[in-house]
Amino acid sequence: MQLKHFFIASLLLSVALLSLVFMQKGGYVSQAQTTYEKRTTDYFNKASMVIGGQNEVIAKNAVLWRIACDAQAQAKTSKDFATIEKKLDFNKIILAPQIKTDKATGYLTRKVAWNADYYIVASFDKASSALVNINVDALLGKAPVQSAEEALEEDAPTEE
Amino acid sequence: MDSKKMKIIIAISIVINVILIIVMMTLKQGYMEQAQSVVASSTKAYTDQVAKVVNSQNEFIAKSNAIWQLIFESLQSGDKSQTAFKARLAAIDTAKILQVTEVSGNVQIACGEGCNVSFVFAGGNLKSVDYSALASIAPEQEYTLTAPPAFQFQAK
Repeated sequence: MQLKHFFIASLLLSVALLSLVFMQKGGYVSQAQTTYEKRTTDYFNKASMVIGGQNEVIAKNAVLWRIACDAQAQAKTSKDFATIEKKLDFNKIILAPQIKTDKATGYLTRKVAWNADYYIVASFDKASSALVNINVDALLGKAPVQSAEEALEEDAPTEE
Repeated sequence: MDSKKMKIIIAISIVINVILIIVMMTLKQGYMEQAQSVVASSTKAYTDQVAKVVNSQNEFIAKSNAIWQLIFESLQSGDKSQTAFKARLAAIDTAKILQVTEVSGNVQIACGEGCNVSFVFAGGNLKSVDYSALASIAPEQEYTLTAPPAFQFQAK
């Protein structure tokens, strides 16, 4: 009788082991899939943010470059410059231009930006409104660091 | 069933169980190694694909910045001569990343596939620059990521 019980137990163990042999592959595949999906999805999300951000910089900087180049080729006065700016900013990405007098040169400057880091600055003669210069240093990563005073001064946008 | 036969059957059953345990342990190790290897290679294949897009985008940023700078400075400068243009180009493109071709005295700089910026010279002086192709590039169409492909596990 004892042998019979032992045999049944052994048989059940065989069935259990056989089931485990067939099931274990599924377990590893499932674990591997979870790990793969987590890693690649995290990577995809982070990289998408970086690439999306860079695409935005490329597209919006191209608008600033185009304004600078078109103005350099065609604009004679501040009015011409403003017309070019308006024409090329059809997607309305440009922030309100900031206009002030440059204390060093006495020129009237118009800062055209789509964010705090990327902008161009056009300078005009105050008396004749003639375009004197366009500064694209910020687009080339050469913009000087602003003082807090200058930054605060630019916080209040002004229109012509 | 007599006791002797039962003992033989039990012995066989035990041997089968031992074999099953060995098979299970062997497969377990194999599946684990395969799973780790497949995860590592599949993940790398995807991250390589992403890196390719990022690198290509970075290359474009470097190129387009150099081209825009060249266009702007060429328009801004009072010296429109081809000699001055070439000196400007050499000063900006120190890394030699721009693909410059000269056709009948005019200069074309590639800004991507099917994208060229043309500098037109007449009498040795710059007459016009056509940068419309560079200005109309839509980066979101050029540099996009595809979602990771579905996981494939091919057990040996």
